Formats: sequence, structure tokens, C-alpha cells
Amino acid sequence: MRPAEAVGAPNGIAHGSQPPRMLDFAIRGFEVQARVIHAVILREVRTRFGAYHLGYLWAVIVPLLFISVLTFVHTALGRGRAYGVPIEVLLLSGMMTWRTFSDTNGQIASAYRSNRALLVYPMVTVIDIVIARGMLEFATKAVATFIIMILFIAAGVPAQIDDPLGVILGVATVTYFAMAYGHASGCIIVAIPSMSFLINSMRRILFFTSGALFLLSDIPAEWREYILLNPIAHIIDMVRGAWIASYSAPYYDINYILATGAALTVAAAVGEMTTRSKRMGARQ
Amino acid sequence: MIRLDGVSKSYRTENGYRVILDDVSAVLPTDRNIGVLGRNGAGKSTLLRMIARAEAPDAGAIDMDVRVSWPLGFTGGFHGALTGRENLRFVCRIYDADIDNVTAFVDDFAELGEYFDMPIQTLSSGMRGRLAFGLSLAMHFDFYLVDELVSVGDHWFRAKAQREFERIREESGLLLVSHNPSTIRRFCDTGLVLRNGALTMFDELDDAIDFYLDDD
Repeated sequence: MRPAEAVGAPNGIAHGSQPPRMLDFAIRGFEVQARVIHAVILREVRTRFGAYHLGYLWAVIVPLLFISVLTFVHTALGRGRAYGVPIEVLLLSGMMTWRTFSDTNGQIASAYRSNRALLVYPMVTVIDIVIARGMLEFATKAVATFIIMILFIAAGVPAQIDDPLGVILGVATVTYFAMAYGHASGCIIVAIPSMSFLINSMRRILFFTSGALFLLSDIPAEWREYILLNPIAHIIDMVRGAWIASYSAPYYDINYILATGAALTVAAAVGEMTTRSKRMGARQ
Repeated sequence: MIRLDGVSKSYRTENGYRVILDDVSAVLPTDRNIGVLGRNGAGKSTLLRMIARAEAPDAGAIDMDVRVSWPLGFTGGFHGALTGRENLRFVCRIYDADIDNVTAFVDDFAELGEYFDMPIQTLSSGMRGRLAFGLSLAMHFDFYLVDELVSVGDHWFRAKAQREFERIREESGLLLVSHNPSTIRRFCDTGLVLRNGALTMFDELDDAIDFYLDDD
């Protein structure tokens, strides 16, 4: 039997001799991109989490382990509560935000290498893979955060999210930062491979200054301004404030978040444009 | 048609740059069966990948108004951990093709049997080749890109594959890359020679082959 002629034109290429108008072109391109991102997400779900989706379990277990250890340390240091909530709630809000950044960033950094084969299909671009992975990571972390929250509440810890919309917005913001930062740093590594050492160190610095492990109020004011150069510290503070109503989140600056987000977007776009042919040409 | 407009491409090697295309402008008819002749390393496969838009030119642009296949016999677009059926579904999704129809065709054509539902990495290269070939047939491309017929294995010589290949030649166009003139002579009716960064087109295949063999 013959398959039906149900195959559309790839990559916005129009059939026929009529010159397509710009708008048609843009809409067509958008449709193709949405289709590709959808297909890549489905493929990623299968390859990353396996046939039985056991991989999702790790998304819950790993942060739980982290938070347990950190809670133990803070409790041993004599602090079980702050801002009217148990310390583990403050750690949970910080840790889930950081891990969303860190894991998404890792996924984006390896997006090109592990999906290089896909680029043989002309409508698939690195950007599609970055977007697909970012969306998938966001969804995974949102579900994991919800499950951990329920587990905490079941264990008697008042971990309920006071402003769910604010937390979702914050986690979405950090996912976007991870995508832009991950793509920009990926492009830098393609251009100058030896930069990978610097970029790995940078990730560690970002972690230790993010405020996931501590509270910004613990830091002396003169040091805090250096910590607050890290936009992730701002986002974590924002998420904490949304999660815990009794914490007023005095440190984050929405303008700083927007400005650094815009700068990262520009960096990622410049990296994409300048390394595109190099990234494609690397395949042999 | 496929239009190359001022296309340049080179690779950096240990001995400096190797130029594959140097400011080439050409129009390739997509209703013909075109043979690309060139010595090993002349850049035939790179040209094919650029037309497939799997690789970008350094300068210039390649435009086309038809749907062009991925390089035929190429199986690198599959994910090893996914089954043939899952890979097929992915390709159908990005090309917006009907999954059920394509699955039925490929299942029948490639004759993978139970291997259709096993991870690609457990399949022999011949099985992968059959799957990739069947899938590209099912996509009904307007123009097929073929890199060295021999590389896709013995299944080419089976009657069914031969019949389908003839159908491609009749109903679609074809760009066949080979360093072997007799392969080109058998399947193509017009020719291109890639030499020293220049692409020379010949309406008559014999002229292309003469030009190719005349290289000293």
C-alpha cells in the first residue's frame, strides 16, 4: 500500500509559483516549530525517563536527600526555624529553584551533543531542542516540587505554597535563565573549547552565591551586595517570598532580574548567529 | 529547482583550508536524475548535506521550492535507544505525515518483523538501512538525495527496493553522488562534476563523464 499524500512542506517552504507573503511565511514557520518542539519533547520523555518513567522518581529523591542533609546541618548549628517557618521550608524553596536552574542548564549544555543526529532533518534547529528541553525540565520540576511539598505536609512540615502563581512564575523565570545562559555558554564552548573549564567554575560560583544553601539575611550587608550580583540569588529570594507569606523577600530587585535576563537573551542570540555554521559544520 | 547562489564552503585541515565550493552559483533541475561526479575528498558528500540543509554553507545561500529528502541510506538520524516504530513516529511528527499510513507502509516494505519494535541499536546496519529507505519512500519527497548507492547494502539488489528506486527515478528527481561513473551511467541522465571548488553542469551525462575522466 502507499501512504497518503499527507506530508506538508518542510521548514516553511511554499509550493507553487505564488510568492508567499512574509506573514504566511512566519505563521508557517511557527507551525513547523511548534510541531518539531512537540515531537522532540515526546522523544525526550521516552529517552530520558525510560519506558517505565522511573527517571521521574530521581527528580523527587535527589532534592529530598539534599534538603535532608542541609536541614540536619542547619539544625545542628542551632537553627530550626526562621521567618516563622521551619528551616526546611526555606531550604526547599531555594533548593527547587536552584535545581531547576542547574538541571535545565545541564540539559541545554548537552542538548546539541546528544541530539546532533536530529539536525539532519532540516526543520529541526538547536533552538527547538533548547526550547523542548527547557519546557520538559520546567514541567518535571513543577511536578517534583508539588510532590515534595505534599510529602513534607504529610510529614507534618507546613510547606504549603502560599502564592502558587508567584512560585510558578519564579520557577519559569529561572528555567528561562537556564535556557539562555546554557545556550550562550554552549555557543562559547563551540567557539573556544577551552572555555568549558571557566564555565563549569562559573556554575559552582553561581551555586554557592545563589542563596539556596543559606538565607540572604545571614550575610553581612557589605558582602550581600556582591552576592546580589548573581541574578539567581534574586530569583530564589523572589520564589521564597512567594512560597512563604511570612517572609517578605526584601532583597530581590525585579529590574535586575529583567535586565540580566535581557542581557542573557542577547548573548544567546549573538552566540546562535555567530556559531551556527560552525556547529553544523562540525558534523562529519 | 534548487538554486545555489554564491555558495562557498571550506574545511580547515592540518594543511590549511580545503576548499570544497568556491563562490558557486548554479540551478539544479529537480525533475531530472542528476549524477554528481568527483574524486574522493572533492566534497561530494558535503555538497549533498548542504542541499539536505544538514550543513550550512560558509557563504551564499541554497534555496529550493521542492521537498528534498535527507541523504538516502543515511541512518544517523535515528535515536539508538528508541525502537524503529518510535523513530518513525518522530519523523512523521516533524514532517507532519500520517503516522498510521507511514507505519503500515514501512512495516510492509522494510520487513523488520519483530525488530520493528526493538531499539535501533540492536538492529543490523542492513536493517537500519531498510528502515531509513522505507521511511524516506513513505515521505514522498519531490527530490531524493543518494550518497553512494553501495553504502546502503545488499537490499538495493532485491527486487522490491529496485522497483521502488525506479519509481523514485520516474516520479521524483534524484541527485546521486558517486565516484564510480558506471553507477552514475546506470541511474542518471544528467551530470555534475565537482572539481577544485567548482561545479560544472552538463546536460548530457556522457559529456560529464568525459570531463570527469579527463582530470589529470
